[in-house]
Amino acid sequence: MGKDSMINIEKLSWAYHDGKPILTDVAASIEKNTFTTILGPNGSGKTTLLKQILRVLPVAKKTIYLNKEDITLLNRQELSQEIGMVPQNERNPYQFTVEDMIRLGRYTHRKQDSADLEGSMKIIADVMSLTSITHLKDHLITELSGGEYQRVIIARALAQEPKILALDEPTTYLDPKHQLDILKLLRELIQTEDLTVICILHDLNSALTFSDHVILLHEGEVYRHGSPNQMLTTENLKAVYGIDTARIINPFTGGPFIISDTRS
Amino acid sequence: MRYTHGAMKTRPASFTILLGSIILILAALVSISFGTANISFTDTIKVLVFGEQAPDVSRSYIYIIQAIRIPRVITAIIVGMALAASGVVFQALFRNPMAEPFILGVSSGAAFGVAFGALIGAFTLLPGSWGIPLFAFIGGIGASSTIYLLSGGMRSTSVTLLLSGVAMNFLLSAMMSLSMYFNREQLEDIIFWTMGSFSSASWEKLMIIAPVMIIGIIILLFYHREMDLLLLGDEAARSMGLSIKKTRILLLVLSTLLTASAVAISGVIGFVGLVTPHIVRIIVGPTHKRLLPLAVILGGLFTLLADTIARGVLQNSEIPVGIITSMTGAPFFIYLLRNQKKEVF
Repeated sequence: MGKDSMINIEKLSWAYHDGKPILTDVAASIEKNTFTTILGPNGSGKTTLLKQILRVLPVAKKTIYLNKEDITLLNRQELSQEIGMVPQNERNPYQFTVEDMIRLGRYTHRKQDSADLEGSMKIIADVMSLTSITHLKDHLITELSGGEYQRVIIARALAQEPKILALDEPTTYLDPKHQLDILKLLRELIQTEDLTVICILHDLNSALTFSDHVILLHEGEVYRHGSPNQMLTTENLKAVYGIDTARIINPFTGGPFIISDTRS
Repeated sequence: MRYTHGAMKTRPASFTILLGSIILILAALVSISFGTANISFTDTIKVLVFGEQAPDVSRSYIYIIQAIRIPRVITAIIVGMALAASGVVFQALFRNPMAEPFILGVSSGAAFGVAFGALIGAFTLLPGSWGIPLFAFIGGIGASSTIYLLSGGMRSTSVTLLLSGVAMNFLLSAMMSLSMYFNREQLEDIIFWTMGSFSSASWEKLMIIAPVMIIGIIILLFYHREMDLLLLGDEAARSMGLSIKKTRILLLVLSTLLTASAVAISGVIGFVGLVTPHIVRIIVGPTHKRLLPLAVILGGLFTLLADTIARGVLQNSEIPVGIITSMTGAPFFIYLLRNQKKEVF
């Protein structure tokens, strides 16, 4: 692809307090304006890797670089203007309205917003329209469906005006229609908003269809990384997940589609 | 329970705040004219408007209103405001609607601080006017940080949090009994701290403690976004640019300061920080920009009404106001506990 590398990860290891290693010597890079999928079995360290990139967990010095700068040297505010997070299965019991929830994403720009209230309101309106939730503006977040809620969280992250969006399983709890909607939205944002997307997915075919780059994690190590087509091979999937798969042609798109042997 | 505070969205929150303030002022006027000495409402207004020169009002009435009733009413309001603000902050800090300075033992910690100060004779060395608040704050911060560490901070569930509060209250009540045992001649004073009353309110005490409380509340009002973010959990809040540790320490210190100031001036008054935020949340939702100022107003109104009842219920004496707030607050607490679906607000 030959585009600029936005995030570089070098020799990243991470363990819990009890010493159990979660990530071992991870090296990877994420290119600007691409859709990178982190793929791997449960417990392979995907979420930990994403949280390291977001620095919401403590990060060791000189392991993760954002635009060639060590992320441990950035403060919270600077970092939150670079990367926005869509956490896994966030569901809040608090009865915020959709608009109030999205406005929380403006926290990092609060100084600038206090001088330019209209500008801030316009950004909130823009991100709602981008994620097609303008009609839900005054609804309570507790009354939304899973798909609507996910959009609100994406809008909240976009309100931070980040250059990178990091999402942890944004489609896992959604029905097929809403899964597709979210993935298409992410692709669209890469195009129109010049975003870079890092996303943890479980669905192999979503990863195959929507991503530009796949990081395959296995037991806390990068098993391999590369284009989805090269990564999601029968051999790799057997090695990482221990399942037997085959590829067929998706009759709608003419592209590849992964099926798995459900007998074993 | 499904409700929309959509109705409130059509009117700006400033309207609700204005309305609340007007009700509070009217209630204060009525409360000032109310008491054992049978002073009419018109005489009360005359004293409020003309002061010492109030026409056709007896000297003793002027004195009662100026030196006793006004400071008492102001104390009741401001203590209620501080306790409600403190409740709102604790609930955001612990992400739990049951968190409240009294239930978590922070009020008892402050009261114990004062009892301990009395025991070691600190108030014969330090002037009581700021020695008492100082010891209340030390006791309060000891209790609130212990609770925070015991319950595992933000990750606490209702059960661990409330049990930590129960344990804290047991411990403090034992320590309080011990200090009473060693300090039998001051038994009555110490009991005062545990029941809560505005009967010793005076301008002198108010002058020292009111500024602390007002400044504390004003600073908190500026932290409404931070409190909203804390509700979302550590990681989400961090990813949105919040420095969690700094914010938490600041909020914990400020809310403890408010609770301790309230205890220093009026003893332990429970449940104000539980009842008022909950009611306000139903009206304006969880956004602290609206929740906090309105909870502050309603908190002031709540303790003012409770104190007016405390003064009026008996013929020739009064009952401690803490008893009134607990008698309304405890059933409310049980109601919240029963209505709690999983771990929700």
